[in-house]
Amino acid sequence: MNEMTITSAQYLVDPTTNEKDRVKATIDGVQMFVPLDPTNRHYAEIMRQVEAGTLTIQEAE
Amino acid sequence: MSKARQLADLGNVYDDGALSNRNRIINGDFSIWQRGTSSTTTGWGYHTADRWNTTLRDGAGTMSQYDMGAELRPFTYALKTAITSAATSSPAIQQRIEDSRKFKNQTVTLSFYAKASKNITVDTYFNLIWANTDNTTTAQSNSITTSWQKFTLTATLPDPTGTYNSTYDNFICRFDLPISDTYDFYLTGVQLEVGDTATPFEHRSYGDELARCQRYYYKVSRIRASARGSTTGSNQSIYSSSFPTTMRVEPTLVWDTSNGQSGTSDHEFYGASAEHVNAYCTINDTSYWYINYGYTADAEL
Repeated sequence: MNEMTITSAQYLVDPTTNEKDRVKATIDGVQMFVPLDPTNRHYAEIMRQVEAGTLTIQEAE
Repeated sequence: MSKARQLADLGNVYDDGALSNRNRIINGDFSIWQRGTSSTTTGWGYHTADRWNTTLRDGAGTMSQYDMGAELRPFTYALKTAITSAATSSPAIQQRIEDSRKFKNQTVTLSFYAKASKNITVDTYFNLIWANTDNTTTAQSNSITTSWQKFTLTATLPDPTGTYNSTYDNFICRFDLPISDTYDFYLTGVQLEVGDTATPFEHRSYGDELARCQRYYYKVSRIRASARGSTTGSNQSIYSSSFPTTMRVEPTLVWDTSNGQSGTSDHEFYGASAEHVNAYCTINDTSYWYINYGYTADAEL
């Protein structure tokens, strides 16, 4: 189990497709660009915390 | 070991189907350290040697690269775990191996070399994750002394029911270190083989081992993008590159800003895949701008 402290999360949009492409998240104090892929361990942890109600992903600006 | 014994072991390995690429552990000789050579981070994570997932739990200390010098040649490095403040649960070192289908109901043999600053006991475990359920098996207590010794553990892994889950199911080799004590523990030459025979450590070239590690983690120290006389604007493409090997999954990307930039802002990645990465930014300076950022791509288990 990898412990992650996630303090912010926001969707980013691919400017070439105008579709949600990834989540810009601050994990353990580091800004990360996380793909929307459940087999990526950072995205899996983001979604686990979202489902637990402890994290909300902000919509893209 | 006698020649007859060596030939018998070779015959066993042949029967088990692997005369090369026997070692399922990557970076078992601790030759690759893309993330750095020392860490005091306590929680679970990938902090130093590639592919090795570690924790100091609630203790304190340092995980670092140990130069073998003339010890145990031809090994060059070991992982040194220096526990300076005792933990109440076991500090641990483990490697997660992709795809537990390759290990389910198989007999496997783990071998490794270890020593410590004093006599301690280190426990080794296998964890077969199947249908997102942990099937832990076969704890072996290993008596580590102040001299290098080779240890082996052979076990037949469980054959659990349920359906393989490609997102979660992998296989773990784990070392649990002592609690309520301070010590230095040294580990190298970790090898996991399918079959019941511990063969000599399979030394691979640096390039071969690095390529295997780059499936899970890739570090670029610096990209170089610059221009004079360009127009300002957002979403300007600045970088597009293929990874040196296809990564396990689409990676998490992180900028390394230590080498600086000028005249730009809002640096972001988009349209990446397990094979490829793109980046863009906002150009603010029409006379001259540059970006010397590096980045990391993390597709670890």
